[in-house]
Amino acid sequence: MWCNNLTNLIIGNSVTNIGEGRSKAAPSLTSVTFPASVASIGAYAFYYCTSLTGAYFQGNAPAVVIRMCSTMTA
Amino acid sequence: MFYYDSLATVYDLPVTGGWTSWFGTRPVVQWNLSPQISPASVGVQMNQFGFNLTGASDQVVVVEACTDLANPVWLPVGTNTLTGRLGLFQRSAMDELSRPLLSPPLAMMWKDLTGAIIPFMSVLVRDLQNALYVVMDGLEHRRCVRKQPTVETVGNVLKAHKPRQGRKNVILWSVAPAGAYDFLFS
Repeated sequence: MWCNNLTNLIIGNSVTNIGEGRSKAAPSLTSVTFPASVASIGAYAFYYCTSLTGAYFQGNAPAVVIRMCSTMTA
Repeated sequence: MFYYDSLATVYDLPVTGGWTSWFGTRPVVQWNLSPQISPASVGVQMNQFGFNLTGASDQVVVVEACTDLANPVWLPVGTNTLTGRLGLFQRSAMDELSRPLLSPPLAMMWKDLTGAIIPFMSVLVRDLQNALYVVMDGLEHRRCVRKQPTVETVGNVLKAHKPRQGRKNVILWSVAPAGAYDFLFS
């Protein structure tokens, strides 16, 4: 899924975890703001957001979650 | 994360933790969130001077003032910690500032903890009878029944002069961006 027109993203304060997101891309996204509530982010979140210039974190550094899957292929 | 996002920079706030110089594949720099004074909030209400200030959560802001422009000694008159996502700073200045306000020169500037001056565009002018005051936010707060003060800008410092008994007294100055400012009266 591609979000072609998304330019600025402010994640809501109730969000605690952001998933992998490998299948999603927002090539027009220029900034994303993470609330302090975000504790973890999937390793492939914000994959291919080639216009992204600023990722703003309002809290502590979240954990980057890398999921290991036995069926994953290269 | 941020794969193929080669332009991205990660910004973190000074009061947060766990950050290193890199987050995944992207560099991390400090997010400089300078506090901002809401111009519409600056003014005198119920004999108290105050303003609303927004900035980063838990950011500490210090208000300093001095009474001698020729030999300025800046003293803190208030400290507050911004709380919540948008902090609120409503400072009552009547106690600390009423005396210097009623005497010649008063200078004020706002700093954050790094010592950086927070620019704002407000000047308060009062005479000995508290008959007038002007806030340099473009708002009209009270009619000036006497001569208008004059204003000059020196660097990023703005000075207000109020004619009195044939001489000019600098009655207040305020840190403000250099530029053209007008007093507005209702």
